[in-house]
Amino acid sequence: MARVKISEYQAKSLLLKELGVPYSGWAINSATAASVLSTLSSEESYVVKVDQGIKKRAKQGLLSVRITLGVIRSFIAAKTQQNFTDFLIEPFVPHQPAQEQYLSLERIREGIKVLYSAQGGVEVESHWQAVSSKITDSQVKMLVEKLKVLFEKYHLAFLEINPLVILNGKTHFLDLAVEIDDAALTLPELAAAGLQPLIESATLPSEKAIRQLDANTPASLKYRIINPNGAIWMLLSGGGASLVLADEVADQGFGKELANYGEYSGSPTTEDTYLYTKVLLNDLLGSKAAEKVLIIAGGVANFTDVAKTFAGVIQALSEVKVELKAQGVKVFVRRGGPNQIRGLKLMADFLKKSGLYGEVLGPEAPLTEIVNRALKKL
Amino acid sequence: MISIQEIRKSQPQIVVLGNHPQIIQSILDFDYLSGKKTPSVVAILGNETGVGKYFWGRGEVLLPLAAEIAALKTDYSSAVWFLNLLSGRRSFLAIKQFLASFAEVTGGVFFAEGLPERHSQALFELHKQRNLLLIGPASVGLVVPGVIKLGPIGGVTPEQITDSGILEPGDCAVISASGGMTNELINMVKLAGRRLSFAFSTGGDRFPLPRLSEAFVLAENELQTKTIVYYGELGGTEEYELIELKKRAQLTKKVVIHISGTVAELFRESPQFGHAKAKATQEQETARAKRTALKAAGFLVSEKFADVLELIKANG
Repeated sequence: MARVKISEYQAKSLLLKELGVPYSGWAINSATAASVLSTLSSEESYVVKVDQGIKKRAKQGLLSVRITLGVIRSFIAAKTQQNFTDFLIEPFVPHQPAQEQYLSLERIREGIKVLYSAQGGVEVESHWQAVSSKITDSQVKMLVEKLKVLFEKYHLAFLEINPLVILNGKTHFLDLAVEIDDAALTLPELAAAGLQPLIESATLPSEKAIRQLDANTPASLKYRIINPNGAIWMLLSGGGASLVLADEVADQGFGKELANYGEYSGSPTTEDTYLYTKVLLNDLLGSKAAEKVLIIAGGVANFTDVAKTFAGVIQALSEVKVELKAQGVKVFVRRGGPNQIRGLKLMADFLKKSGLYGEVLGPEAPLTEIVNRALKKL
Repeated sequence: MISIQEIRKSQPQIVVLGNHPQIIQSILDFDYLSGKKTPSVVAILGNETGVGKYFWGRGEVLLPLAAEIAALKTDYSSAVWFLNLLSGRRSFLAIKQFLASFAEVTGGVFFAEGLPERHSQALFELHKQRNLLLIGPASVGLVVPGVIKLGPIGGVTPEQITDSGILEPGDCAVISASGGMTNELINMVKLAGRRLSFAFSTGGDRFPLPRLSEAFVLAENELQTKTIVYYGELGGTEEYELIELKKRAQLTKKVVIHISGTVAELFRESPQFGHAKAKATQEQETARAKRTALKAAGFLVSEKFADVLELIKANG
């Protein structure tokens, strides 16, 4: 549960409509590009950009302005080659660089923090001292008041317009980035808006599989690959403990060998941990590292049942025990919490029976001791 | 806001919102093992009416169940606390109603993750207006040894409660942005041969309660606390308020701090970690920047988590 980005097209369609500002833009992906492009005029001047929630697009060549239809076609073809999938096309709005302003709203504990600068545009960060919460321009002031209402209505967490251009009383959001609060997505007032969070462009199939699992359980499941050919694989539990354990690997200078970061928490079922572990083990077995360790670790759980969650982990491990043994994967376990004695024994017994190298520790060992032990065997 | 000393002098009475028998039983086990004569849980507000049967030592005890606030007794003899075990979506509205019905509430814990940010903002306002000690969201609770266990903090089985050291009072306060790490720190305090004065988890959400500076002032003003142990993460900037407190001499006790999240440096852009707040979008929110600033201000900051144990041992 956190802040999530939505596409620029979704954000503009929603907000500009509410503000009563006409919006013309075309959201396309590689599949729909041809049919949409056939409706555009070859006389007009356009803007095209990758619309996948990526920051600083101008500096990464992910947008192109004041271009013709032909250039759009080659832009999309080139970016598709680089695995980008979603694009936004808009008519080009002629203006002077000096007319580019900056405006952002962010949800903070005390309310909404507004930042503004009359000197906006891609170089806004190089004169950040000009950015402040003071706004004198009456048109911008009015816009902020309206945006604040929408900010509340749609549970927005962050909104940045850069550049904002106002020409003859007409407002143009030339670039808009919006983050929403995904904890609010299921509230009745937001469910109707049908907003779809963006999935980060670099998401791998296994990461997507865990996202899917996460969306279908009240427990929390996270999974990110850092290095698919890494030697150190981590099956961690607890939002905090997982960070401490992954930090330990990085802080001891083994960051390059760290394959993944992830965690399960919030009392997942045996089925949840089974499916989660299965995805992870599949990636682990696919890693080209010569030697591999699997660290199954977590803190002293408050209410997550160790025996129940470990039963799922063991089920997944046992399905590939032959492959794990063949690759010489060493397993290091540290965990505490409800039913820890039974859970740890289940794990120790399984490792022994399957002939895998394993070390199993309980809460008597400091949390990060298990990382030390694993790194020594690498 | 109530102080920890005042909590110690009181006889806390807990109304539980939502039903989670294992957590409720753990509170009763804590009460029983602490030598209390009666359970601190006085009512459970859920979907059922009648009574719920729980263990009280080797015997049994019946707790009143209510399906609506109107059915609850409102004239409790002393401090009323709530333990909100409802889902993130429902937590706020339920507590707003609850607070409207009870004039004399001391505070409470929000257990669920995933409270909408707007709801957390509204809770912050309530916390200020009514001067309550609200804790959470995404908090495993508050524990004052021998006095109150408000949530699953310290564990849910009798073995955990006995072994974790939350029954005997000591001089280490634990404050944590993570539920699991709260227990881990409580475990460390015990491994260091010391005991707890009190502990709570503010949770890892974007706008946790109490505000970190308020949490530290609670610990500073608590007479039995000699050392404060804090676990924080990357994301957010409220740790910098601790530096201000120290400069103004409003924080004079020994403070052991671990900030996690250096692993984020391995990613091109800071990913979203397990907790909602655990993401650094600017330099000062990174684990490294917080560690450096806190260390420079004179806090006992661990470079590795294992150092926390040594720091707790050495700073009694």
